[in-house]
Parts: sequence; C-alpha cells; structure tokens
Amino acid sequence: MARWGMVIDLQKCVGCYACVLACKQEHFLPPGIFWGRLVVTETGRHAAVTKAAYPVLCNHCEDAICVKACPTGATVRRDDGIVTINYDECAGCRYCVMACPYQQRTYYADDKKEYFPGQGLTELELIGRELYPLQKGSVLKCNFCLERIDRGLEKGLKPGIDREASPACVIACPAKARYFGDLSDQESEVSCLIREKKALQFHAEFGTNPSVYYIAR
Amino acid sequence: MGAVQQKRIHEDIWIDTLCGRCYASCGIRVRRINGVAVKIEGQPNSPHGSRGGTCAKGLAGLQVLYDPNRLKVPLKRTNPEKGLFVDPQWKEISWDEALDEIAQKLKKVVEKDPRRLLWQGTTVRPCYSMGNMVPILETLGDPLRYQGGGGLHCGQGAHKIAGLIHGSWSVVPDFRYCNYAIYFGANKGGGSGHSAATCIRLAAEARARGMKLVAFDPLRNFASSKASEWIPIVPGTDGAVMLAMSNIIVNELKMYDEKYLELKTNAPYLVGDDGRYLRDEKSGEPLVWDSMTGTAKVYDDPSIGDFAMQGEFEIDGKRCHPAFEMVREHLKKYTPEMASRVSSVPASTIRRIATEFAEAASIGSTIVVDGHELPFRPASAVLFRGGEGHENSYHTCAALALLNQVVGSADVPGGTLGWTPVSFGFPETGKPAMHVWKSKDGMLAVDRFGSTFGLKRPGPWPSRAPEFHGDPSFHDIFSLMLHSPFVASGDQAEMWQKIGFQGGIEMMIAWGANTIMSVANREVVAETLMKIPFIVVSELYSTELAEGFADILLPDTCYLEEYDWLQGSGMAFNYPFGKDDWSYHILQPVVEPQYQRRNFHDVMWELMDRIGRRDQLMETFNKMYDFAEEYKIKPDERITRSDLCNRMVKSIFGPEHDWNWFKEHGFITWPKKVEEAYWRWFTDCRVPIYLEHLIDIGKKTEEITAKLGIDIDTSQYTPLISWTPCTIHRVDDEAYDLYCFSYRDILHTGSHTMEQPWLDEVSSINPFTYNIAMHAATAKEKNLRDGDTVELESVTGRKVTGTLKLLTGIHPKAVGIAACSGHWAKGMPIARGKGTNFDILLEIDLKHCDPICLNLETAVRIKIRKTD
Amino acid sequence: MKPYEWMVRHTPQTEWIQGRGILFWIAFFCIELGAATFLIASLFHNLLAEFIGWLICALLGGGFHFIYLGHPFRFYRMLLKPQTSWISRGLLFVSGFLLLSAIHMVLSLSGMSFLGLLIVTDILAFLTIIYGGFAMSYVNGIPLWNSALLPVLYTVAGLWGGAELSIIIQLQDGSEHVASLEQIVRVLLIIFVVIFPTYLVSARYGTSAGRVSVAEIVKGRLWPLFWAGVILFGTALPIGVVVASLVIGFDGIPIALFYFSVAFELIGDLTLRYLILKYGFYNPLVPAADSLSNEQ
Repeated sequence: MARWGMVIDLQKCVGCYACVLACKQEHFLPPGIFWGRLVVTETGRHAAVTKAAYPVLCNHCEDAICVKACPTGATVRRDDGIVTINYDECAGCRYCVMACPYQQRTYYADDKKEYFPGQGLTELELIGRELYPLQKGSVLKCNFCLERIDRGLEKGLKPGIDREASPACVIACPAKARYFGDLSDQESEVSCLIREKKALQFHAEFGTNPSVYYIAR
Repeated sequence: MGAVQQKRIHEDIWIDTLCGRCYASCGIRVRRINGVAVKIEGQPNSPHGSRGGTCAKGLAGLQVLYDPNRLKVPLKRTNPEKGLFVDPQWKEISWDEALDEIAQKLKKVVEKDPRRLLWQGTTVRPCYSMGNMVPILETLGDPLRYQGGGGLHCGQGAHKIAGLIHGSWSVVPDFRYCNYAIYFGANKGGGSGHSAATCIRLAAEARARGMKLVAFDPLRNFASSKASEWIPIVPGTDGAVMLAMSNIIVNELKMYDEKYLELKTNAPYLVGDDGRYLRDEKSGEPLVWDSMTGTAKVYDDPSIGDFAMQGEFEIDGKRCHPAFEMVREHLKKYTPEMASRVSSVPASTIRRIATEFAEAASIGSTIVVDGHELPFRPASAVLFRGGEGHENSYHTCAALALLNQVVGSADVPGGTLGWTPVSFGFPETGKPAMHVWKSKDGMLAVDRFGSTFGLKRPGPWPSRAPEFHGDPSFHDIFSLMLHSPFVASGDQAEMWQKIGFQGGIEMMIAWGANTIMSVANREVVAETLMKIPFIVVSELYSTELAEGFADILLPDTCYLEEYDWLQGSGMAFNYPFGKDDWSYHILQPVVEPQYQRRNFHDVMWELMDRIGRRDQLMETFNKMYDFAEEYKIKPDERITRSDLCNRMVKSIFGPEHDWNWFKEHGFITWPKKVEEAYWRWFTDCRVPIYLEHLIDIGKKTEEITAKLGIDIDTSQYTPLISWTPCTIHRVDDEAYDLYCFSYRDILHTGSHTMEQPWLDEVSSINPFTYNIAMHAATAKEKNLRDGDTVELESVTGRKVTGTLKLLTGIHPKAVGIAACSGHWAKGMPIARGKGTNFDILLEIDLKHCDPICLNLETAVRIKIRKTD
Repeated sequence: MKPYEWMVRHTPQTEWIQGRGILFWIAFFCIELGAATFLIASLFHNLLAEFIGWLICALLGGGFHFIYLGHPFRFYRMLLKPQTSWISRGLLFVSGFLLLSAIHMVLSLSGMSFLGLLIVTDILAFLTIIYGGFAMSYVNGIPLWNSALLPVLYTVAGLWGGAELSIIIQLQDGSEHVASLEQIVRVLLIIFVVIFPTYLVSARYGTSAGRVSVAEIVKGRLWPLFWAGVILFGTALPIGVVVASLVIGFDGIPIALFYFSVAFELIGDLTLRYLILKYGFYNPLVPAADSLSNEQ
C-alpha cells in the first residue's frame, strides 16, 4: 500500500505563491480560506537573520492529532496516509482546529462571502460551488488532492509522476520545488530525496510524524 | 475537480494558449468546463515557461476574466472637468458612436500632423503591443509614442547596451552551466518579466546544482533572498562597483581573457589623443597594431600575428594607444576603496567577489556542446531595472558589459547570454531567420532587435548621429534614446517651446498602461494629460487614467479572450534562451468575449478602415512581415485579422502548419543549434569596451542642445566607461538621509494585478507587498515601530504615506516600496486603497534623466516621519 | 496581529473565542457549573439545587454547545470516538450524567432513589466537571493550555462555583447546611489560590507561547479583566468574605454577602476562563527574527 508524501525543496522555492493559488483554484476555495499557505518572514538571530518563505500545508501526519481529537470520526486517515474529512459527518465542533499544532485546518463559517464583495458571485464562483461543493459549518483542509490521485490511479497513472494524478500545488510550482510520491517505496523520488538531501519534517518535535518533508535552504 | 456531478458536465476541454499577466507570456493551458474557464496550468511540453508551472499572477488570470468590474460597453465622459480624482460621470454609448467620433478626430490629426497623435502602449499586456501595432503606427504616420513606466524606468540603458553587446533586449546568466552569477539590481528567477517562469525554473535548478549567486541589491527579497551572498548597496552606485571589479581583474589579478578581448572587442583598436579611432586612409576602417610585424593594420586583416593590447604607438605622427590600454588606465581610478565610499560595500568584499568571479570564469577552459568545442566561462554578471534605473544608466549597463567582456563570458556556455539574435529559423522553412553581421567598425549588427518573429528591426548599431528636426519626442536629438520622457514630463512645456513645437498633442490613444500611476509624480503627469483635448483609452477596467482623463473609454478583451499570432515569440526577451529548444506558441481565446468587449487590434483595424487607410495598412503588413510570396495581401483582398494570422503561421512554418493546426496543437518546438545558442564564436563581430561612438554623438548633442538653449550635462558622453554620481548622491540636506526605491514584487505586474482578489488576498498575507520596508535599526533610531503609519517626503516635496514593515534584509539607508500600488480609481474596487504608490515621489524631466539614453532616475532621497 | 504575522508571531486561537466561538466559553462554563452544583447539592440531598444544576448543565451548557456547533443536529455523532477524543468522552459523560441525574431526581421525588445510583451519578458529574479541562490540556499546540494543572484548576473552580450556587439555593429554605457548604468553599478557595498562580507561573516555562500568553493576560490590552475580574473579584474579595466569616463567625455575616460571594466567584471564574481561551497562543511555525520586534 502506498503511503503518499511530499518533499518541498526550500532551496528552489522562490516564494511566488503559485502553490497557494493553484490549490485555491483547484478546489474553488472561497475568500479567506487557504489550504496551503506561504509563511514569509525574516527569521534567525543576530547576524544570521535571513528571509524565510515556507510553503506549509496539512502534513497528513501518520500519528495525526486531529484524527484522535475528532469526536465524530469525520476526520480519518486513509490507508494510503491521506488524512481526510467527511463533510457530511463533521459536526463543526472545531476541536481539530484547536488541536492541530500546525494550524492547517479551517472552519468554514460563512458561505456568503464573495470575491467581489457586494457584486454577487462570479461565474467562476458559481460553477465552483457546483463542481466542488464545500460544506458550511464543517472544517476544511488540504486533502493532498485525493480526487486527482484516486482518479489518476483508476486510469493507471502515477501520482507524483503524471501531472494529472498529482496534487495541484506540486504541478503548479514554477521552480519545481515540490515533489510527491510514495514514501513507502524506498526507490521513489521522494524517498531518494529525503535520504540524499537529508530532508526533515517540519517541527518534528510535535511528534506526529508528518508526511511532508523539507529540504533545507 | 472533487465531488463532481458528472452528468451535469457537457464540456471539459483544455486549450493551449499564452499567459498575458506580464511580458514573459509563458505557455499555458486552460481548462474550460461548460463554457467557464476554471483552471490554468503551465504548458509542460514547451520550453517557453517553467515546463508546467505558473506563477501566482498567471493563475489569477481567471479573475481577470470573471471580474464584474470589467468594462462591458463603450463609455463617454460627460463631466467636462478632468483631473486626478475627478468623477468622469460615464455615459454608455454604442461602438458606432464611439468609433465615429474617434475616427473623425483620428483622421484629422494624422492628416494634419501625426506627431500630434500620442500613442501609448504598454509592456505588461501581451507583448504584441510592440509587434503587431508597429505596422499600424507606421501607417498612421509614426505618431508620438509612449510606453509608460515600462519604458522609462526599466530599460533605456539596459536594452540599448544589451543590443550593442549581445544583439538582444537584455541579458541573463546561462543557468544551465553557470557556476557563479552576480546580480546587480536584477530579479532573474525571482520576479516578473524576462522569461519569468522559465528563469524561475532554470535558476532554481542552477541553485540546487550548486551555482553560487551573489546579489548586489538594496533589498534582500525575491531573487536576492535566494542568493548565497546578499550584498546591500546604495542605489545607483552599481557602476562604481562593477568598474572596481573590472579594475581588480584587469590591473591587480591580471586575469582577463586576452584572446576574447583581442578578437571580439575593440580592445586592440588604436585610439588617438582626441579619443577617436585611428583609421586606415584608404578604407576608413579602424586600425590595430600588429606586434609581430611592428606595423598598423586594419583590424580584420587576416595577416595579423599578434594584436597589441598595451603600449604607445605612433602612426603618421599621431600618438595612439590601443583602446584596452586607455581602458586599463582609466579603470585604475575605480579602486575598491573609491567604490566602497560611494556604494557602502566594503572594499574587501569588492575585491573578494571580483577574485571569485574571475576565478569562476575559468578563462581558457573549454566545453564540448553538441560536438562543438566552445569557450567555457561559467561566470556571469547581469543587471536590470535596479542597476540601470538611474541617471547613469547607459554607462552602468556598459560597465556591466565590460565586466563580462574582461572574462570573456559573453554568449558562451555558462556566461552571460542575450536572448540569441541568431536563428536559422524553423527547419522546414528557414523562417524566421535572424542574422548578425559585422557592421561599421567591425561591430555587431542585428536585424531583429526587440522582435523575433514579427518584424525586421535594426539594432542599436550602427548608431545614428543626432540631428534636429523639431521632433517633439526628441528622438532626433537623442539618438541613443529608446523611449521619450518628454511626452509627459515636468519640463515638457519648456522643452517644446525651445524646439519650436507649438500646439501640443491633440489626441491620445492609450492602450493598457496606467500612465497616471506608473511613471512619476501624478500631478506632473496629470498636467501634461490635461493639455490633450481628446483621449481615448482601451482598457479592462475604469482605471485612474481613464477616470481622470479619458474622453472615451473602450472595453477591451483580456488575453483569455483573444487570438494573435505574434504573441508567440513573447517579444525579444522571452523566447527560450541558451540551449533550450526554440518554441512558438499562438494566442487563442479560451472563451469568447462577453458583452461588447472588443479586441483593440480589431478596433484599430476598423478605425484604419474608417479613416481610409486600410489598404495602406495591408501594404505595410506586406512590407514589414515575413509573408511567403503566395500569402502576401493582394490589393483587392479584404482579409480579416484571423486570416492574417493564418497567412503568417503558414508563411513561417509551412502550409501544413496553418492556424487550425496551431489551434489544435497550441505550439511547436524545434531544437536549437549550438551556432544559434552560443553564436558569438561562430561569427566575426566585435563589440565595444571603449564607447568611441559617444564622442561624436556627444559633440553633436552638445552643439544642438546649446543652440536650442537646452541645458544638458554632457560629461557622460565620454568613451571611457565611467561612473557618475546621480542627483540622489548629491543631496546636501542631511534631513533627507534615506534612499527610497521601488522594486518588483513577484505577485504583481505594473498596476493592474492588485484588482484580482486572489492576488490581493495573498498580498495581504505577505509582509512586504503593501508595506514600506525599512531597516529595523534605522527605524529604531528614528523611534519608528513595525506597523507604524509613516509619511515619506522627497527632496522636491513629494509625499506618500504607508505602513512600515521592519526588516534587516535592507540597506540601512534604504526604504523600499513594492510594486505600483495605491490605487484610487472607483473602477478598481479590490485594488483601491491598498499599498502605496511609489511613483508619486519621482520627478520626470531632463534633469532627472540619464543624459545619453534618457532613463528616468528611479530612486529618490527622502525623509521619513510617523503620522497618525 | 496583522494578516502577514500569522504563525510568524505568536498566534492566538480564534475558533473557541471569536464570532460564534464566544458561545463555547459560556457553554463550557455552564456545563461545569451545572454538574458541580448538582454534585455538591447531592451531598446534602438538596433536590432543588440538584435540579437547578441539572438545568444549567442541560439547557444552558448543552444549549449553548448546541448552537455553537457548525452542524448542531449532528451532535449525536460526537459520541463515536471516546477511545481517542476528549470531546467524545465528554459528551458521553454529560449524556450519562444528565440521564442518570434525571432518573435520580425523579426517583428522589418519591424517595426511591438509592445510594448506588447516586454514587454513579456523582461520578459521572465529576467526570463532566473535569473533562473540559482535559480536552483543553490535550491541545499541545497551545502551551498555555497544555498543562496538567489546567484540568485541576477548572475542576476546583467548577466545584467552587457549584458550592457557592448551592449555598445560595440552600439559603432559600433555611441555612441548614450552609455552614458545611461554606467549609467546602473555604477549602476549594485555598486550593484555588494555590493552584492558580502556580498554573500561571508554570505556563511561563517551556516554550515562548506560554510566556506570551501569561504576559498578555497579566499586562496585555485586557489587563483590567485580569486584575479586576480574576484577582479582585475572583480571588481577593472571596478571600475577604471567607476571612470575615472566620473572624466574625458564620452567623454574624449578612446574608447579602453570600450572594455577593457567588457573584464574585462567577465573575472571577468566567473572566479566568475567558482570558485563558482568548490568550491561548500557538508558537509560530517560522518565528520572526527578534530584531524586528517592537519590544526591543
């Protein structure tokens, strides 16, 4: 069974926000809701201050706190490692939003927000609600584009190699800084990268064993 | 798409086209479901772009398409008052009514005097504005032209020098092989523009491969934040550092590429005491000294044994030195200490970087590419807007070129490339061929400068002598100028009065650029616009320019609703460079234009028809475009624009590759040959390290301007590449202690991207985009805190306000403002009120321009204080 | 906090305090107060107090929780994960408590309730009081909450509130057990006065988010809430009442003072819970450099 994971190369990343918007576009996310973000700041101490631009997203942790915290079982971890939310089962208690130390979950409170406030929903927003309905009152988050992965696998495509079967953020990156693949396959691109470039998990001290790794600057 | 209701989808297709969010025009593919464009991705199978990725701007294109604030119908101003912040009180009119009025006025003005028509294009629309509109402008009688900020801020020096040295519009490191790259105020791989996504891809790969990047930049953001070493520098002093580096390489380390200089530059040309070349009496060609025979010979004499690069000689009683000798001596005054004094870069750093650069260049080494052995110089120095945007632009760009010349890294693997001026064309047709040849004085000439697929257009060499014809754009006098600032400058009235241009401009057609925001202080620009009685604007939104000054506002289509053939080349600095394959893409619509929007090209064709110049336009197309004979437009043929596109692609790519073929396939690629990518050692052209042409041009310019009473500083008209301090370096009042500049943000192009909500959203969660960046320690000294509202005031009293963001990655004496924000137009509600408009701080007049190429000074000295 | 400072500076939680999240604060409090009132009241077999406690827990506590949910009518699904989720466990305890306490109260009306039922009900009541604190301390992302002392603090405060309320209700039909209740209050107050500052001080150790949380609580923008609400009303004045009752003697205290002391406790408890919710900060994912801070 595959265990899907991602590697983000911070040397290559230029902080262009393409991944952030590609995700919003793929899932027709409403205003103010992000499933992937770019955290930009100067970081470090004294003379070693540098500019950091960290693309962050749900880490699809192997030992996910949100899965444990969820009282309804709406949040589950699939066999392939993807942590998903069943909107129909979510009661909207937001305990998972609290519990995630990476803060990658968002509660969808207001479905009336328009991208052009006061001017109605655009054609794009309307078709988005048909093609990819989200549920107000439930919690949302990155799902590793599991629809693309599942549909791709059905067609015999390889996630991480074939664009159509890969997450939107991965294929949108112009610097080719994002990689996706099977962590349980020692010879997959992501596994090799993690080994050779000594890629690390973000804040491993949270102890959740994320599936997303970063190659340091 | 996720929970898709399959039965409700009756259309799901992908369309290959080109992005139009900056002038890189990367290849994209767009998904259309049930008639709605829903997803944009990069084109993975073409080298034109990042091979599948896009930047954020590209993705936000969908929100240009579906913006309720987009203009829908032609509008006419009913408020007779014009000016900043004035409400035009738009009235809807029909296209017929609009075109009637426009045609009537247009006919009158071009028949009377085309110089009284001002045409404004833009660099941020798909680049065919410079290509496809040229025949139209020619047919209109060559009106006054304006490019807005994209013309005056960012390229006057860079394009001219890159054209002179590389036959190209600009320069870029050969990322594929480069090991050591230096940026002077450049953002290659970190910003918009020049092969934007292509550079992001290639630069990222290069960095991951281990290429060291040294960035001289007042701000550590984007490309400079990815640098292995960021070196803060005072704006406008890059030239001094470059010259100091050349000095160290040539005079201290003595590690220069002698063979390259001898064979590929005017280094060995003999220069007399008057600064001019010594020339052969018979042929008039420049002379060099052959050390082997101890005689002077014409520079391209095949019998030359050894070019003398040093020494003093005498020919017919005239004392002379090789140009290289002059340059060498001249460089000695650019000591690292001198450069350090003006730039604030430590002298030891300058010395070290110069040494590292020269060592990395591996002079003498070679590499085999596709079976050809070529010089291998994996060191490259480039600049762009930040380095060249000052009153010393021309020489700064020349200093950069010199730095590359001394290590022989021009247009060879690993070195500094232009976007190649050599092409053998598409293999099956040999079109469009691009040529370089040895021209006057043996120097490089090209036939397609700033235009690959479209038009033949000569490069900057041979340069033209200044003349005086009373041209209101001053192109006659300033022969090395690309764009004219006087079209909307603070001294316009005075300058026009001096050249006797009376009556002013009678009509303006503005397509795209938001003149009132993107150039300089808006009151100055407004004053010149107020004098134009009739202004037509074709735009996507009701912008600040339109609201304040347009009489008629036409609803334009956006790139996702348009087709064109010329977009494919992405202009002269966007086609795949280095050894990346050639590519050609078409622009085709993803959706049909809604409402009454019309592609401005179609509008111009109709206008030409209405003013009775349609046939003339067709003739101009025949003359200027590379039609195959059978596709030329015959006099009685009334073709459509789409027919033109069809004829062009068939002319270039053969009859099987017609427009329908391209609609299906989107693009075509073919391999690039080594002789094309690394053309320099396959041709016999030279380029100048000694700018001899400036002597005569300078004298003539001085003569003409003196006679007209125009005061110009001619000290920069010197053949020896120098660094001259700018106005910003000569401010006495210590109260104005900070250098303020603006920089490109990767999220924005020009002033139009703040209107897309996605880009506005991410701009708000980025610490820099809408804020004013300042050094934390400097701010603390001035009792300013992160998040304070501050007011910046320039030496000339111009003021802007904004929110402060502290950081350490900025020169302690610099303050940076990103992009061109600070909108106030009612027609752009998302953009309105966000960020700060830096250009308000800029003056625009001859005094604040480079006296050679007329680049605007884009930095300003300010003082800063907290406001409430 | 500016939008671009998200997880770059210490970032406060929002879902359990902002917008509809404010209901969570009251709901949480009412559940504990109600159960505690029942529990304490049941020790003295005060049926009225038990009932009022039950109402507070079921109608106010349950009701506000219900409204707070994104999908209120799916609340029953929240029983499904007691093996890992404190909210699940909590709902289990609350439901069990409300059901059994209702049965107990009905049976008590005709004197037919029995000790075994009462014991089980009281155990469930106790679990109802403590689960909220555990649910919060489970959140290791918020160091202010991630303390073993938080459930203790909340439990003590809850019981104290329950005791105070029981006193008031008891006073309505004679001061029979008020003295004993007052003893309970004294003990709880002493524990509270010890635990509370220990909790705050210990929160400052470990990561910086804890320090920032405590600093905000104690001297941030809402410092009057802390010093007036928690210290004055929630601690000092109740101590004053206890001291008075010790010095003057129980019978010398005006009845009104007991009402005040309930008010003090409620204000103090509510304010404390509010501040802990509001100033629960996450550590930044990518901390901003110190040199950029306005503090330096």
